[in-house]
Amino acid sequence: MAKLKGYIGHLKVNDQGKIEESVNVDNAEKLAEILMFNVKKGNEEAKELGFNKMHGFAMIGSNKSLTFMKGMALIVDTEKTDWQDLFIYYTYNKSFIVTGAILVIISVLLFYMALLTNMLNFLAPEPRLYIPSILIIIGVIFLAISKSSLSYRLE
Amino acid sequence: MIDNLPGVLAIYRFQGGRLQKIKGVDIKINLDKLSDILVENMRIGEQEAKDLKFLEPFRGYAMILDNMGIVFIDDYVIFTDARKTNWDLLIKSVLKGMVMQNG
Repeated sequence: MAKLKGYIGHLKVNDQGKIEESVNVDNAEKLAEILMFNVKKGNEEAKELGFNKMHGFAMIGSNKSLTFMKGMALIVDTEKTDWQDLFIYYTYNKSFIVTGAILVIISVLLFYMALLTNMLNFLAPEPRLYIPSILIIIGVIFLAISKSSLSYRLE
Repeated sequence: MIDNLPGVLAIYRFQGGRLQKIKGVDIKINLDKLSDILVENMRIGEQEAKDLKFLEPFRGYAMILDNMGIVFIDDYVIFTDARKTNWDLLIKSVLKGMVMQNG
């Protein structure tokens, strides 16, 4: 969390609202209470208005702000932070990234072997090129789809 | 003006205690219920900001209900598509009072 822009401090609580971790928070007990109360109330109000769930909540002060994430309250600098990062993040599919990267590396090696060495001379000239061409296309597709849909910070 | 930002659906404003549409689409939420909730939350937020101190001076709040973003700062209530809007640009513009101005 410390890598988020404008980060000042945070508080982690478990499902019962018990404090698990507190960094740079003056009044941790009070903050934990507010976190639990606001998230509960927000979800009740969401239902009252015909929604299913509250997916994000931030209290904005002139200098510092407070945002709620899953089991956590985060204190940030209102100006320095990137508000986009506080509400939304992208999840990456690791196995797709690894698969894509391996395919790209293999295809680059095969291109190298086909064009600059005679190690692939047992193959006809066209397959020497189109095998790595197909591999690099599949690899890039895997990399492209590894960035999956957005998720909200507060589930 | 803020309605040029991506994902901004509508701008409403509290006028005489009631939510009035200024720009954008009609928001299909019970507006009376919504304004009660918004005003109550603002009051609670101000009290909480007082308790926590670091939030003062308190400006307002933002929330996401399902995929709808709602920002309530000063008198303005801005409705957005939470997945499409640029939250950083949106919140910083509203804080600077640029809801109805160019810039």
